[in-house]
Amino acid sequence: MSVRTYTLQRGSTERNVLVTAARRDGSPASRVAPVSAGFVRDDGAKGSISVVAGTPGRWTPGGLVEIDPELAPGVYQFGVPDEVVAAGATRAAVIIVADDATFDPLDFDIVAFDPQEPERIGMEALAFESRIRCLTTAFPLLAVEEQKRLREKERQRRQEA
Amino acid sequence: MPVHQSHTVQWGTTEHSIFVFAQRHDGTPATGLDPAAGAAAFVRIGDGATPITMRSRSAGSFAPGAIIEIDPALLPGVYSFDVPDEALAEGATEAVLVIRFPDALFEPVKFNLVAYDPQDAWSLGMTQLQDYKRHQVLRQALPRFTEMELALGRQNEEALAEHLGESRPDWAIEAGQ
Repeated sequence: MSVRTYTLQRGSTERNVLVTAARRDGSPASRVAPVSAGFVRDDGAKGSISVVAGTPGRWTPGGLVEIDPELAPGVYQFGVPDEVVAAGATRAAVIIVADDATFDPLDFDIVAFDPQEPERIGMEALAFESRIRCLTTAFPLLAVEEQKRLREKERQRRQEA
Repeated sequence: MPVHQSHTVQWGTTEHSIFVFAQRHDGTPATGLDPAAGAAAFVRIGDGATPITMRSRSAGSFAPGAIIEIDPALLPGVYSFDVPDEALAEGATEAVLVIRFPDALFEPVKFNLVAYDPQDAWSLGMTQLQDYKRHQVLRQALPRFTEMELALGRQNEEALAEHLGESRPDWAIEAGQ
């Protein structure tokens, strides 16, 4: 058993993750029929997950599909239900249970930032609008004067047009 | 045994609980563990190992060293563990938690202790990105703008005082304005 840790932004939706399954002797477990799955969050929420047949590359909540039993035996795609990583918790765990195999436990680190967002990793302070607001609140009276000047310029432009 | 479970936590975090996963030696989930039979310790980089007294607790409260099974039917082998605050205190960059039971295996849990706050959506806890810090930077970088801003403020205050029929503010009198 190896715990798989994933870092996901809270409120992420329609996320697939790769999970691995092994037989009791440690060999990769192909064509496993899962029995059940469940989740728990550190805000106290927990529940069962209906495991359904998944499709590689497509998200379905609870969708489980082995990617390629010949090339990558024991590697499955799992569709994480949105409520597992919804806002309100910082950590969640998912367990997939099968009679004849062990799936690695899934451990979700639910964070405020977005590790997949290239511009500012989701930080609100670095958003364009936040920076503009920061500038205008640093010099609020000059900002008002600037707005007045811009409006006057616009009015003149319209009159000339 | 490799360490697979890792947590990135701001140093100084308190009352932090984590999920840990237990299995029997045959690979099946380990349910029904008795906290009294377990032992735990944490190691902070640069320090020796510190033992943790394991205990049971009721759901909802925090007790350092407490381990509680979540739901053996729904989530077999999943436990919640309350990490002692000293393990995550400022002063180290890394800590490892080890939990041992005679009839079950827990993978060691690694903590990356960081200065930023992964739960702060505004600025990840980086103070230089707070508005008041950025205002300081802007006002120091643009001193003439700052003077103009202050002058506009004075004009507005004077206009307001005149409108209300009040005398000029003290600072204006002192400045001879």
